[in-house]
Amino acid sequence: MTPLHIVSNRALDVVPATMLRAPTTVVAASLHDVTRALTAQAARPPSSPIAIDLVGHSTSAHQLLRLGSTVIDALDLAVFRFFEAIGRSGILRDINAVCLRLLGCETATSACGVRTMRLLSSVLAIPVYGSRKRLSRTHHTAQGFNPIFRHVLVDATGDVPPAELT
Amino acid sequence: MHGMRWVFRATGGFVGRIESATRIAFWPDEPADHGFDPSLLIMTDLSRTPAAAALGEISFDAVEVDDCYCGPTGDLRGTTLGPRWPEIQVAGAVYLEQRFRDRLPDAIRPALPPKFMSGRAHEYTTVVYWPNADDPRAGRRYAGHHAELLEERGTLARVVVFSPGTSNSPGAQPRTLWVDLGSPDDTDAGPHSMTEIGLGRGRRSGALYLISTGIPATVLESQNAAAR
Repeated sequence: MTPLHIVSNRALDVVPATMLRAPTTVVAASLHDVTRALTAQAARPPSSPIAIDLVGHSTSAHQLLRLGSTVIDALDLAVFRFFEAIGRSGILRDINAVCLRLLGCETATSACGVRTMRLLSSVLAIPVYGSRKRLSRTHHTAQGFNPIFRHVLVDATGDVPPAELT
Repeated sequence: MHGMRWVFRATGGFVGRIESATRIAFWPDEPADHGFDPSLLIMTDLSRTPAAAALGEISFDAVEVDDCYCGPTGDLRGTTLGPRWPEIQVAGAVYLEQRFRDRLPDAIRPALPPKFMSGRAHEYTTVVYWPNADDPRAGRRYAGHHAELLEERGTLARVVVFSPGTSNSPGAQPRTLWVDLGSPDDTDAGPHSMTEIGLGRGRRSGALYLISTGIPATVLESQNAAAR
């Protein structure tokens, strides 16, 4: 599976420099750069299934992923509407996206984090995974999130992603 | 006061019927106690919230419930029954907007404080000031607490504050803190404030509305962008 990395411009320190230079990596200053990344991916030749990885630090109190200036909080109606529009657009099907991963520290631990994962999965119609642990640069390689740490990721029900999604 | 803010009164809620992704009917009291009586259901639309009004999806007058939102420690606050299918929870809290609540028939209007809950009415009340108003409180949410005034120095006040719902509980453990009763960063200071203590109001014990959260900045930015 090929990851599409969308890395927060405020968290460039948490991924290897080699990963940042990869053609499938986009640095995001806000949620709007997610649209840019997906559109760019859609312009590429059809690929094998991809995981969309949003990579950043999480907020200290809520453990919600921060992508540039935007906190990925699905209880924030503007954020929810953004992802709802992505789900409706069909672009995820076009690029063969099979899951969304919120790669920030403990993004699957707070009640708000879990609710966010459920709501995003509902509108995007793909599994959404978060982290139940703190993440650092060592969890990533030049190719993205290291699959040997698959057990760190869970969906909103606590299930670890199947091997084919890592 | 109409045309400036939404006042929300909390109640428990048990979902009794789901009609759409956001439209539900709920019982404010334990339904097993009245045999799941459908005549006691309250119909509401969980999408009729301040955030939806701020985004221009509904009118300000159409707000029925407060949003479900992320609390300071990642906990869920506000109307936790929602916000929408499939995340609708069978049991949780519902914050009904005052005008919507007043329009309910007496027979189904929820008790305040909620049945079997301790504390005073203002401990189950929050207020959200309308965004885009010429008011420093615009877009902000304040939560009602019961407080006792110990001393005042100008607008600064040292107060004993009880956690919501505990002010008349024997084991209550209130906190003492200084707040600026004249600052909207601390309290709902300003015209028609709902805070009852201090600032020459003559009360040393009563409601104190402390800053809580607000309508998310992303929502307000969307609203401003739409206005441009």
